[in-house]
Amino acid sequence: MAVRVPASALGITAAAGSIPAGAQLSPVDDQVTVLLADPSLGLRLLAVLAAVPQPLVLAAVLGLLARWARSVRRGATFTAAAAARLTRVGQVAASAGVGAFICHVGFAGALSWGARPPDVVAVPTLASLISSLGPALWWPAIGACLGLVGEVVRRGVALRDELEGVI
Amino acid sequence: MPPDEEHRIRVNIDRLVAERGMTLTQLAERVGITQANLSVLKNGRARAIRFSTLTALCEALSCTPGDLLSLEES
Repeated sequence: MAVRVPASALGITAAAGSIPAGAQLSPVDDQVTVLLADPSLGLRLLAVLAAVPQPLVLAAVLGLLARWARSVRRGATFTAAAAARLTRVGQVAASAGVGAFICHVGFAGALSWGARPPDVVAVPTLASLISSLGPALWWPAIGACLGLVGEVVRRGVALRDELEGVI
Repeated sequence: MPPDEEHRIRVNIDRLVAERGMTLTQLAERVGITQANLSVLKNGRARAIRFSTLTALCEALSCTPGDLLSLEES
């Protein structure tokens, strides 16, 4: 099982010259990948819990979008209900996605902590914290995109209402 | 203009149809619109009228847009 661990947790620093020849630390997040040959049940569970939430939210959002697409294919696209439903999917993507990301960071942190040598205390650097938060922005971005499409549909509803009164 | 705002345009379809001895059904057929839409137009509930519809109405009723539409006094 592979686990990402802060290099400092393993006592590896570039300055100390303790990096094996041919290897180098990631300049972005100062993390190294550690291969655990025989992880405990707890670590396996943490690995699953860290990996599952975001794909689960992604699958749920895709499922909601598929249901939305089916419903508008059966009926009309430019309805107030279709616009509201799409906006709701966007809100779900943004909120549940960020929640899932927080879960992922928490469980991955616990996993990383559990994989360190017992006599080492790892303190993440500011750069590693910032770089680990970057992917969290994808979820609000996805939610905003869906919200924008919902707004387009809402304006389409208004336009259709307007055109229905044209003879 | 907000959709629900009152307007003062009168559509004189009833008078013109009566003067020409036509029925609304015949007019709707000649113009190529539904009776429901003709009724909406006649009762001033339409939000707008296409130039093509206005042209067809004028041709069917042998009149000008000025005969068909008038402005009510406020």
